[in-house]
Amino acid sequence: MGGKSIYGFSPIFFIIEHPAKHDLVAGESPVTRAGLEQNHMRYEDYQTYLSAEEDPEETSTNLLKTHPVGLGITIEGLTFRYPTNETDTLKNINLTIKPGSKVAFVGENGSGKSTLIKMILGLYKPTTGSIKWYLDNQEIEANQVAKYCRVVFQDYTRLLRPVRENVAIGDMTKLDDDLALMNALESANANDFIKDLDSHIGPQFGGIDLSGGQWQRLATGRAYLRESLLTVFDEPTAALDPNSEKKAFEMFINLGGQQTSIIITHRLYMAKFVDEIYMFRNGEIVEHGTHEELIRAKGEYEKMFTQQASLYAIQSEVV
Amino acid sequence: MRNYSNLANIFLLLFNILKRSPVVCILTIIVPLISGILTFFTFSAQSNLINTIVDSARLNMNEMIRLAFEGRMAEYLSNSLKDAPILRELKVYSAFDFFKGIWSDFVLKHYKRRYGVRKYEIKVGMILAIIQTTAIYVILLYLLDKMNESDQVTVGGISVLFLALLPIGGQIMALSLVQFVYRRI
Repeated sequence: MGGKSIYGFSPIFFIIEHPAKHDLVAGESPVTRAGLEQNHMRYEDYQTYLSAEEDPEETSTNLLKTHPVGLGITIEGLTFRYPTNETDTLKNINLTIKPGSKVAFVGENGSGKSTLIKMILGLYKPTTGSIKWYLDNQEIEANQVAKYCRVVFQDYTRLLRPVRENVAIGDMTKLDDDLALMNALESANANDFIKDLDSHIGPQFGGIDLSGGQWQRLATGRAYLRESLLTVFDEPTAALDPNSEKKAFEMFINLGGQQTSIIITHRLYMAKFVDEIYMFRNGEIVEHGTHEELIRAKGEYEKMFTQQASLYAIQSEVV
Repeated sequence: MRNYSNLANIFLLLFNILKRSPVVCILTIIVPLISGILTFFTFSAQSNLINTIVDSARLNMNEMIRLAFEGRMAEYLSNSLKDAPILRELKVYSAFDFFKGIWSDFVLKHYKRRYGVRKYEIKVGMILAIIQTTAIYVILLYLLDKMNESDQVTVGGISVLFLALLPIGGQIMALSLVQFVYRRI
């Protein structure tokens, strides 16, 4: 090993990136596979994420002018299995998302929707089958996909850092662009509780405290900051009350604009407004089509929709 | 024949040495005795002096609060950047390197500050050690000079030489060790 490192107690990413350069101080343990698993993270995932190249400068601010339609995606015979699992999480997935279309993935928890989203974002590679991305009819590489995407995950990042940094995650080149940051917050209806971009978040660091809904709007703000050709909403409204949820969904529709958009949702009434719905069960697509087509088919979607509609009717009667 | 106690014998011996060779006696007995007494009674004063010098290079309260904040933030970031959902989102947005940079800046600053204080302490220690060693050398040279003047080697003279060389040897070793540690840092 080389000389003494200032990153003595470095997390594993330094060891992975520069195994020869970074030494560990005796008595301070490195991040191990077990250590990562304590953070609910697979070692393989960690390596996969870290292998993705980063270049914030490449994030184009004129994407929408140069590519007004959006990203197209074709998935053929895709199967995926997590390294530690014994069964496939996704089985024989075939679908085509046309540039500029709005698509909803619906289905029960654990049916593979979020895993497919991670694959669409280029974070995981298929075990078998293929996934291809097209921009202006030209295929693009998996490691290039992320720079064309923006996403609001269900478990969106809540960093106890200044507001500025939390919003600028969407596009780090705009970290010092106060106007762009404030516009993004305004678009996400977050400007009512954020007055100062340099306010620190997190009472444990002497900063402000945000509610779940406020965090959600902040996370949406960072998506607004970034111009993209594919917008993904991975059920970020799960923890919100119905009113906030409705607003968040409207925000998603606005956010997507003319670009390709994918939403994962349990609330089927939201799926009514998209071009195509894919119904997942146990890692497979069991139904797909427009809302009207699926209702007419009287399959699983129609059953779930009717159940939810009656539940909403009961709730509104109670209210 | 008079029967003296051991203590009386020692004083008698000292008196005889003093009468025959006052210089050797002063160097072998009086100087170390005075030095010892001074060291013993001024220990707290010396200690306070060194602490004051070192403390001036240490941290004031505001700096400590800032460093504590940065330390907690570095730990928080270290944990957050290993969290799967956070890492996933930061990678999608190409923002991971930015936060990793913030974390490493905190750690770098902390280490620089910590080693800065330690280096200063070592510097002060080295200067004090050099003063001590120089003083011993001066006494040794004075002694050798006196022995040369008297043109005779006495038991007392040899004893003083021996006693003087012991701490010098220790100081040389200590200095070498300090320099070795200093270079490593």
